[in-house]
Amino acid sequence: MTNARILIVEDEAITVSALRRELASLGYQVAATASTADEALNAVDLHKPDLVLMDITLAGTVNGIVAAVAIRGNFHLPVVFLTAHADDGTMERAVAAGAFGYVLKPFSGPGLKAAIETALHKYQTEIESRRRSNRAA
Amino acid sequence: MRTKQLSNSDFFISPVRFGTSAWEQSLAPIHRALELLGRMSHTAATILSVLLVAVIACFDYVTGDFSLALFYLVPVVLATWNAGPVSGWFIGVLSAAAWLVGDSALSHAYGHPLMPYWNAAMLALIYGIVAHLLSTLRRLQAELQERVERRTAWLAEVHHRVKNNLQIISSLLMLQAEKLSNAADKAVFDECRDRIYSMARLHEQLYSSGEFSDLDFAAHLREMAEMLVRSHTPQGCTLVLDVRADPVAVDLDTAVTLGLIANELLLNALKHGFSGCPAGNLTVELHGGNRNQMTVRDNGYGLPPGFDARKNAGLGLELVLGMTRQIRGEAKIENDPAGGTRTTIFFPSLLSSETAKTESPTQTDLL
Repeated sequence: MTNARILIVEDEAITVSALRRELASLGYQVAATASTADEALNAVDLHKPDLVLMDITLAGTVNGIVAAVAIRGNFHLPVVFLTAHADDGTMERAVAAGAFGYVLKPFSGPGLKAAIETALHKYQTEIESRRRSNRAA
Repeated sequence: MRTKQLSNSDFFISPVRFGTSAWEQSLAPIHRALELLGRMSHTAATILSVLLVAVIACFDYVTGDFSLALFYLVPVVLATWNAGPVSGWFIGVLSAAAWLVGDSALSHAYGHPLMPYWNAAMLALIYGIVAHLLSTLRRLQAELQERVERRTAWLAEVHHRVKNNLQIISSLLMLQAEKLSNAADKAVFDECRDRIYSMARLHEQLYSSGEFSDLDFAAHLREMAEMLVRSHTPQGCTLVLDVRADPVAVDLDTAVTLGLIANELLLNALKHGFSGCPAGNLTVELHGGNRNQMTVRDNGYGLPPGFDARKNAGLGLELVLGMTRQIRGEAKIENDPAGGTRTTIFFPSLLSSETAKTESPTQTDLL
């Protein structure tokens, strides 16, 4: 799904700039950027992105995993984590938070695209399956 | 400056060991038993210890002249380990008293009327010393464990920060490359990003395995080859990648250098080996032994006639030769009999390189 609108939640300004360009070169639109969990929730509400690319270590007191749970719970959007954490514990917490994908830093263009496309496809499948079960009910 | 919400619990990684010695294995049941004991509540352990004292005292009385004084150490150890030194001392005194009661009931004849009391006091003292030593041991063990956990967490955090910084450097290179109009200049920046990527993946492998000194290079080599082929296969060329990598343990320094060497060789093959070819094969091999061996082979154009790596080395090849020397290895660059180029890097095994660290460095070069 090219042209998807993506919200970047990342507190490193340089990484945000690089991500903006990488996403644009991959054919995506950057809907907005945020550096804290609160900003991320406001940005999701305001810009209605198709997917959220979330760092785990954020500025402020709330980390990316908690923010992802809130976004999933309130807006039912797919969240892909983009993080330097590669340990099992963090990955397990990310999966428990309903992660649709996990990209390790430093990211590569093909890796990022594969994770985003997989997440969007999984999200579409989830929506369709929910629709079908609602119709059946 | 941002506020990081970092805590040990967020980053703690259990230390994973590749293997355990026979000595450690023989101690495993004791560790398991102590773990079970450690889970028992203070009250439960004290009550169980009192009951054990009563049982041993009964046996002591029934067996008559046979001394069971040593067996009272069991409840003393149980109470001390689980409920602390005070409980241990209490059980020690109780044990000595129980022994005294049993001894009096048996009406042993002593040379002096105070002798049984003296013996009981000595027993109480011995049990007290055991309880004290054991509680000190337990405290030290807990302190040591806490330190190890804290250091493991710090080390994991350092690796995480290294990776974050590598991401920032990679991002800066990308942003800088955007300002260039020449594709060849941009490619130089991309190559630098690939090198950074290779180093970052090594750090990732290190701290996700929990083994912070040595790692299996095969997994890293496979992942890197797949990633580079995905991103650098020339347009219009169908490449088949074949990775035959045996598990080879290397230390962190060697892994970083070897990773960069593999990166250069693979990029070189992808950039120059297949340009304009509709299809090609790229083979990567890693074999262990007294002398490890890493080979990158392509079936592309091969080396130009009269090629001499010493004279014709570009930056990539110059780096490969320099880094090979750094890991005390040797490089062999040649045309493959089946067509294409074959580069083999021979480097010492982990064991032999540890031995060689004590010896003076030797000059190594092209074979």
